[in-house]
Amino acid sequence: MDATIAVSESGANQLMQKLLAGESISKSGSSSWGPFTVGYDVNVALSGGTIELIDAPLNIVRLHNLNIAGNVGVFFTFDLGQILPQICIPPFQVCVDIPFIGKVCTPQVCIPWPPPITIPINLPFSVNVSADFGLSVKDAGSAWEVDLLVFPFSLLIDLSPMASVIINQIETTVDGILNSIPLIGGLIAWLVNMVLGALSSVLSAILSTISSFVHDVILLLDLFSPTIPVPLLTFAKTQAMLPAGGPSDPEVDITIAALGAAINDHELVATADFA
Amino acid sequence: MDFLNSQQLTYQDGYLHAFRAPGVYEYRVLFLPPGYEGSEPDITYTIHVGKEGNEIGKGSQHDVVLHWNASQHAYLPDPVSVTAQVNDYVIWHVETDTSAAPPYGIRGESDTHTVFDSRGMGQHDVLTHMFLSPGEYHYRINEQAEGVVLVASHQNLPYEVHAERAAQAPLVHIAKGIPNPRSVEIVTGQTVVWFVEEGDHVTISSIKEPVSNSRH
Repeated sequence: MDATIAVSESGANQLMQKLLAGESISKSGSSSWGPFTVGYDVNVALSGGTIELIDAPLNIVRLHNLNIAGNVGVFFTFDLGQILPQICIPPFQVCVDIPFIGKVCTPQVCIPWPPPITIPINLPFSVNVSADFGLSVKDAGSAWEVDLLVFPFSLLIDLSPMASVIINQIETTVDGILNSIPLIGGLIAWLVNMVLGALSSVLSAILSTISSFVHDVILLLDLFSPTIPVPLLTFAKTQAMLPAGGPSDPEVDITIAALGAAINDHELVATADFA
Repeated sequence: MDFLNSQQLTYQDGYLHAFRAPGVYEYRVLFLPPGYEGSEPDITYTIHVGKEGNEIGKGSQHDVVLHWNASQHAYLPDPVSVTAQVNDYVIWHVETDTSAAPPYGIRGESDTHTVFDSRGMGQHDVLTHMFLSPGEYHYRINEQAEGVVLVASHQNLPYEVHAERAAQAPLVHIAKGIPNPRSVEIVTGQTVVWFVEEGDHVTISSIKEPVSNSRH
């Protein structure tokens, strides 16, 4: 004896959206490039997409335009003293005539740069991907699962367009710090450029590393693991066929002994064999 | 906010002493108050003062730059020794790339006695302080008479105006513990010079937290 359950593409979409809602991940990392130490916190979540069910013999669940979105919280830490030369002010001699002493030229003060500064910057990202999933059935103990297993797919994460966001934020912060130091007005733009020059020589490497990190974090999601099947449908092996009618009339159960799954006429068809 | 205290000099300060008598003077860079010299490193530096100097008020300036060495926890003077003449004057100040260098004092002795001590300035000693933070700096001379330095921010001034003002260093005379003038108005980056015209064991220290001020 067997039974068949068919799920349309619309129904499969709803199942997929429920699955996606549970797929999110956060991870952190850090590294140093010259005078810059960069920490990064990644949050990723999945949403959207539309299902296309491709008939046997392929039996592919194709997910179009899945949105992978998130945010990278980046923390740039650097010591101005490692980048900028020492600046002594004023840039001219100040002398005063003091009675009984003579002409006294007051000392220049060489400005010690502040302790390392940390600048937080948010880099949101969003990318749409399409991926194919194969179908499989798994005996999960007390239940049968219809699982999805992703085929290898192309995922490109490129944060390099965010370079200007980073440069602007660091420029603004350094400019603010330098503006608080008296008598270097004519030097501020030059000094800011020194910091930006040091940054630009490593920024593409930094963004490439963070992009790779985000890419790897995304692939840690179960949905994108080529070795971890993700359940789309679950059937309890023991199904109640007749409810209990009373103390002497217990519930009548049937057991699903085997389950098959395939795609037919753009429907996901699960066929249950009862014991 | 600036730290203003003649007994504890920082990289924003200069201390000047004029030598009125020839001789050999040994000075030390100290970190503790007077009376604790026995706890300090016994490293001295020499100033040779010859007798062939100019008249009072016509001496030459000698700068001694103190470089902070964190590993030795010591200020190392440059030059190590000074050769001057009578009525010449030495001004000590710090150059450091870290604001964490500790405050210090300078104390000098002849063969027989203490001749100068920045922690209690003598007649014709000079303190300079470059103000880097805006605010109202109320200070006391020997914990008695009061003066004030009103420091406006440079940030709203055109650079040319700022530089023109910074080229002036107001001079405050201290006679019998009274500062004259009692009030000075400057902008950040300007130096105020206190001259002990008359007095002994003179200290200058701010008496409360400077009030944040956006004066123009």
